[in-house]
Amino acid sequence: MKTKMIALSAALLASGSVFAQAVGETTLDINLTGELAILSYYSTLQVDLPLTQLAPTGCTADTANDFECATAALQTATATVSGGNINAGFTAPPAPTFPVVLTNAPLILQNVWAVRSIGGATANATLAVTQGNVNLTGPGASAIGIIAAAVQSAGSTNDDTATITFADPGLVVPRVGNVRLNLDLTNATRSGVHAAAGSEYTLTLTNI
Amino acid sequence: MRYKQRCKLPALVAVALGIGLSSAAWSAATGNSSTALNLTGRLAVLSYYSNLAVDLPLTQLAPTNCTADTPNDFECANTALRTRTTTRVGGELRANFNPVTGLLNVNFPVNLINAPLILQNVWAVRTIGGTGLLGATSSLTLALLNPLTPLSNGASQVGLATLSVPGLIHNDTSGVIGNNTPVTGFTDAGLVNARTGSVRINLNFLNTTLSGNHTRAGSEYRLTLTNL
Repeated sequence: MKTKMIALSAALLASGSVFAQAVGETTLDINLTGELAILSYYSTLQVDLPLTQLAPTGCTADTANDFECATAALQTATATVSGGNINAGFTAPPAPTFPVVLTNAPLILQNVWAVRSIGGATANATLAVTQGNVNLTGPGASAIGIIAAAVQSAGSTNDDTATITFADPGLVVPRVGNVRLNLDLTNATRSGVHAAAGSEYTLTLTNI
Repeated sequence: MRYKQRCKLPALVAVALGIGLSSAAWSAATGNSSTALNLTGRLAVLSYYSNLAVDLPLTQLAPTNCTADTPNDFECANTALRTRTTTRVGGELRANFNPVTGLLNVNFPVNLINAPLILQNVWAVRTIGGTGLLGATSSLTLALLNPLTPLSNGASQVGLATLSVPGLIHNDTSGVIGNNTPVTGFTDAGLVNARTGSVRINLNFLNTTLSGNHTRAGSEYRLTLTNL
């Protein structure tokens, strides 16, 4: 036993070091090839529009939904007699001031799309909106028209138009934006759901 | 007397020759030799690729819960009815469909901010002669170099994710990738049959906005082989 211990020590001394070590470094390049474009969106939306939000300004609310819009200025008319009636021909009271243009009311559908894109020749992407149904019908003969559509994303080129352009955001943090539909409430005569079969707008994402 | 000696000499030669012939035909002489080969010291050989380029087709990152319009373009429709009540801001009617729980739920096949990239079969180790306390063993360790400096292509970056410790993966005897643990304290396999394996580096695509080659100066990782 003692003899073996002496032999082992001799071997360690002969090796010249306690341990052997080899070290190597490697360089790594990552080449992303091709392109990827991902459009996330809500395909079924419903917007509840409380009519009180269309309440006129400059009028007095008798109740939450009933307004009186008095023109206090003296209106003078010269009466005429016709058919046994004395007619005082006033012109109709002026239209109240509504908070939105009822024939062209911008409805902003906020945060309804998100784009993730990478690659492409210019490292940009375009998002376009095209209109579908232009008339939503409601109870009875009530209808709401859709007269224009646009996409919105702050900082994009041609923002708030039918086609916007922006730099590819990558895949992790999407670019999120809105759709604007302009409504014509001329023929909206009843409350209730106004809808149509099919789609009201189509979004098209293109990685350019 | 001298004559007799001369006459005997040819006979003696003939006898000796006859013995020699008969020995080659049916007799054998064998000898055993005891030879000891003493391998002294130790040897550790690390073979590796020092210059790697990985092509990553972006379609491999395509989401799994979306519809492909083309091989590269996907639409991810959230079909559930979403209802919002408008608010009026100025002359606009706004319906805010907060996307936090809707549009952001795109399922990618990898975790894009901590994506494991497995560089398969990029190292081979041959070791012999360890004399450590554990016996004939060696260790191989991996170190990321400058992990906070991303690979870049212009403004686009691919980060070396530090959320996960980079790992070494060794192949088992069938050549299949084994577990995902660092290779330490493995038994010396000798010089003929190398122990081979892979390197796992986790990538962060948070700031990756361009395709193309992402690179940087210097090396990304270092392997250190130690024969204990």
